Amino acid sequence: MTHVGMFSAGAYALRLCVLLVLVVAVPGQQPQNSASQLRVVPRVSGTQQSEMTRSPNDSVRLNNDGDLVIEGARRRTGEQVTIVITRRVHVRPVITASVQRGASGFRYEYKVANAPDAKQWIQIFWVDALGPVVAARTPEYWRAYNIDRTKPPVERVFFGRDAADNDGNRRLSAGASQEGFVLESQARPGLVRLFFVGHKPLPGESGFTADETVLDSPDVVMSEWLQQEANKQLSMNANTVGIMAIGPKVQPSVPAAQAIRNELLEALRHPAFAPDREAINALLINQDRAALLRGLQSLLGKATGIRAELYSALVQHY
Amino acid sequence: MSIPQVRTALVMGLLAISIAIHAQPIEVRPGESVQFQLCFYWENLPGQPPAANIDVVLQPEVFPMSGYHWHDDASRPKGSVQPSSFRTSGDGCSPMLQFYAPIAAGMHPLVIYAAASAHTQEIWIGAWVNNGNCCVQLYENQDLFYKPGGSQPEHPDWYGFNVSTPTVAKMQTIAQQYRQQIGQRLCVNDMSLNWGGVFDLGPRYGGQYWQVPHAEHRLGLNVDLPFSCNNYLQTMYNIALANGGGAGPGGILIHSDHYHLRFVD
Repeated sequence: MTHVGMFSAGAYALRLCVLLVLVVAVPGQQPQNSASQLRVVPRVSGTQQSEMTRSPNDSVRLNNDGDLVIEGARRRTGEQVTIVITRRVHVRPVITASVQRGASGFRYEYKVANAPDAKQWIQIFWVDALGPVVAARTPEYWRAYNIDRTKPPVERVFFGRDAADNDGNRRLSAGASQEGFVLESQARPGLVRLFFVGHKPLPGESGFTADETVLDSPDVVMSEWLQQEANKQLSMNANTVGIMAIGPKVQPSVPAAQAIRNELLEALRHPAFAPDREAINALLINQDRAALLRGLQSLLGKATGIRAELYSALVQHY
Repeated sequence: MSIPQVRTALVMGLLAISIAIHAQPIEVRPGESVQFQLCFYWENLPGQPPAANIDVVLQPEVFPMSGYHWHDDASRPKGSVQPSSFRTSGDGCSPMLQFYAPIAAGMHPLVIYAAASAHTQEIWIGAWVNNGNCCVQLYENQDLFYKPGGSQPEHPDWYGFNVSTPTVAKMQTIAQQYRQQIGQRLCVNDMSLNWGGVFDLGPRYGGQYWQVPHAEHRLGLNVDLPFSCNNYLQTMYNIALANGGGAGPGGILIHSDHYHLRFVD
């Protein structure tokens, strides 16, 4: 380093030192660094959420129609208000499922009907498949919106309306049915759950009521507990009609006898299988695939609906 | 020693001193409370002994315009601390203190009066505390745009178009699918402020500062989809529901003029 260089470096260091002193000194002029030379050190123990508020009159229940009744809310003026919210459960889905084995796996085809006593049309529904779904197809005016794979092993396949809001073509209104909802999967058939969401009229549509608006309104005050309980009933899974149907369920690697027994055990929990409860219990003693299939063949002869669909699928594909 | 070496050494020294001067802020989520102690030491005495038996008074304040609220600072909630006065024990420490954070995010200096001097301990209130995901801006792009006129000068710096990081990805998927399906960009409106906390709408919107009406919109998990600037509302609902927009508590809520999406993380 030359003398000139050293001088330059020294001058530069001096300038920075002055800057340093200024930076350090400026906070020292502020109250937090006073002449007492007191140093304050925080020690944080933890944080906690505020306790959930709840009023004595708070109540959340479902009425006979399955709609939500919220009591205990108040307007800002102090007036008590009872809130009734129409849920999206006024659909009556009826599913007919068929299963075909193909070269690359199974093809599950669904016919979806909405019974004549439904009060809402079916806007969207989803299938909670338990095997990898490789393809989903829909009829016209419908669309496979997504296959949600974020919660394995469930593969949630969404089928929803795909039309202009005022287009009623192939809408699953009360009494209507629609074929052509298809899933393809390597998973063998079993009992899976489907969830159906009814349509609530939007502003501008006939029958619209602003019932949900009060849940997020500045004019209505609710305790946190009340809000939480209301939200439970309006959550995505609760605010639906769920039914069982045949769908992708069992990986090809699972031994057939084990898979059949598991499906029968699950069927026992379903009210639709009540007529066969004793026979299924008797059948479950068997560990042998051939014996299980013989028993299923016998049950199939007297079964209808989802019972027939399950027994048939087990006999054909295991 | 070369100029860069001198510069590096001095900058490092400056940094070290700065760290010593500015203690780490205490962090708490909006509306929650934090328990802590304050311990006092005589810095100018040998060994820096504890400052035992000194009387201390605490006063919460708030930095104006912090937490992305650029409005009405005069009536801004400051939070509270309990107890607000005490005498230090033999080890120089306070009893256990509890700071109750207001529901609005922001930077709050806790002014500490002790031994004829004043000090501060900063308390930061944000929804990102404790590894929260809130919030980053959901940018306009080829698939989505902000509702015209939806921005608010009261909440500047990208206004209220902030969501949690997982919600960014879900909203981008929703918007992309909507544009591909409908051929139009998705119109979005109020989400959350950058630090989260209460997203208040002032008198210009029929509300009051520092209060609801956006009862939610505090954690970056809510997005409003206006009806006025979107078409195909049923399709929009289906796309949102199928991509996580109804996975949060309460599902998708229908307002009189918008869908209120609720994401779960």
